Amino acid sequence: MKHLFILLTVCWLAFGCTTPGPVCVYGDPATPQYETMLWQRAQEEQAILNNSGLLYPNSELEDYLNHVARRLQPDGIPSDLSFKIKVIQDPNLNAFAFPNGVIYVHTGILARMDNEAQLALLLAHEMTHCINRHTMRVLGSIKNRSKFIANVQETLARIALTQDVAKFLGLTGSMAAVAGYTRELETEADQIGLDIAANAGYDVNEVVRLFEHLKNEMTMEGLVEPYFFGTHPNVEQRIANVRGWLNTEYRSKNAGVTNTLIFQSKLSKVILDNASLDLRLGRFLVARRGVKKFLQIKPDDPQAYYLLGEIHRQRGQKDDLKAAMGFYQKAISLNPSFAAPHKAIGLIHYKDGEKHQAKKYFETCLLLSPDSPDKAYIQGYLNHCSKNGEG
Amino acid sequence: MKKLLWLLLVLLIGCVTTHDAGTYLSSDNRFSVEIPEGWRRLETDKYLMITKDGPFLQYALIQQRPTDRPFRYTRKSLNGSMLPQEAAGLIIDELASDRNLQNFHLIENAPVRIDGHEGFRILFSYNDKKGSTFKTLYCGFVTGNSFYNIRYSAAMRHYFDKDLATFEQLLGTFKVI
Repeated sequence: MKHLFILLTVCWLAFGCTTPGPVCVYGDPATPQYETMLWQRAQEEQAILNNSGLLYPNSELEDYLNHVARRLQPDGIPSDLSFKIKVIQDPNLNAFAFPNGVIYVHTGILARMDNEAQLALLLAHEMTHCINRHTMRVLGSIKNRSKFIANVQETLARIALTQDVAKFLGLTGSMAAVAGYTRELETEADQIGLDIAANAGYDVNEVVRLFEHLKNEMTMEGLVEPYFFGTHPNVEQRIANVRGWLNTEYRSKNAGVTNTLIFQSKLSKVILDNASLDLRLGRFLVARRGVKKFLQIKPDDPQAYYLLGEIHRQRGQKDDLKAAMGFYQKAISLNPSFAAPHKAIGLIHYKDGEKHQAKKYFETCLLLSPDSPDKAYIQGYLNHCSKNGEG
Repeated sequence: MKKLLWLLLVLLIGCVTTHDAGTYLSSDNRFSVEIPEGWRRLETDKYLMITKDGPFLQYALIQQRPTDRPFRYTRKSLNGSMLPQEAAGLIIDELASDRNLQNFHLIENAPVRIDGHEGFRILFSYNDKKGSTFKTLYCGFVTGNSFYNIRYSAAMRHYFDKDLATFEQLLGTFKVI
């Protein structure tokens, strides 16, 4: 009773009134009504998430992801289990599945992938959690409720300390998104996910590349990613596991497809948008890598060069302003009517006291974008330039 | 467990502490401001908050923070050489990354002068976790090693417009000492 009260208090403090409470912990998983209740709970949590403004608005991308999920869907799964993939605007490396088959994938993890095979392996892992009813199995196997409550408390505390979308989730969502399942169930999802992807004709060797690639991303800039790759077993163990399986069970199988080009064409915008999210968080190095990756797909994109300029200008380390200037100029050369780099160059000159040069760029910016949202600032700079005899 | 309940009770009581309107001088003597008639004040070591009808309906908040203190979400930091527009951009990045501000929508971003300092004025709306829509006017400026921010936040429906003029008057009385 004491633990129940503590849990309820912590849940109340963490989630307020909107997030569904922890009722399902106290139901009886042995009853047939339990799973129905769990699905209802999942739908409530999804409704909160869907209305939070966090979804990435790109129906073409969602169509593509759902197309890949349909290709993966194995025969014989329950008829009421229908997979639906949604994308969340969040630069953290995460993906999670609700027990009713709705899978949320962060832009952060999508942006780090190289091809459709890697995407398929991720989706197949998450689909396995649903197909094999991992949530039910976890809740049904709880023997030590005190320990489980302690784990949930720890999870909730972690949620409260992060900006992660899991803030909107209740027990089912936070178990999937943050706490992860047990070591055995995660391993099972990795192994069966590999099977599902192989049966759908994908190159399963890509799983090692995906894991190692993401691990490198995590270590770069010391990113704390306590979710998809932080759950048990840890990423090194998972890489070792999949290497073992690839060297035995999948050794004789023909290499499948990667569908790299179609993946790049569908995902390129995500890569650039996610780099903007990384820049927003001040992850300059990761953001820069994102833009560079995008430029390998679309080498003449002015927006990408502008973003590179912003990364350098905002970071402000030695030689950054010079580099930023070069990227802004490149953006202008690719699209002379693109107002933002004109303004950015104006700002650099303005701060350097080069008012005449600044004025020229600010005026061009306003000419190109008379209704610029920061028009009042630019007018102020122009007035200042004129007052200082540079007009 | 009793300690936890007492703590919650103390926190709740703390929220309704009342003080008189008039000139307010911050405990560290950094700034002063005129508190409007009928508004109650809650002061912590991190900020001054005042409200007329309760902080869930409307409040004004004044905070001084060192420019080198890290923000909660963005790793970027303010510095004295930043233009107000750059400082505004950083604050917008911080606000847009805050998952407590659902459906964050920037309405206005413009320069403003506060107590003679060049600053910024950001107007935005958001939903809280219960789905209610709030509007916030967030003004700020950097001087020396300090970042001052003076905010007014209220339920968008009915309350925001009702007390906006009062907040603008308050903003006009803000002085760095």
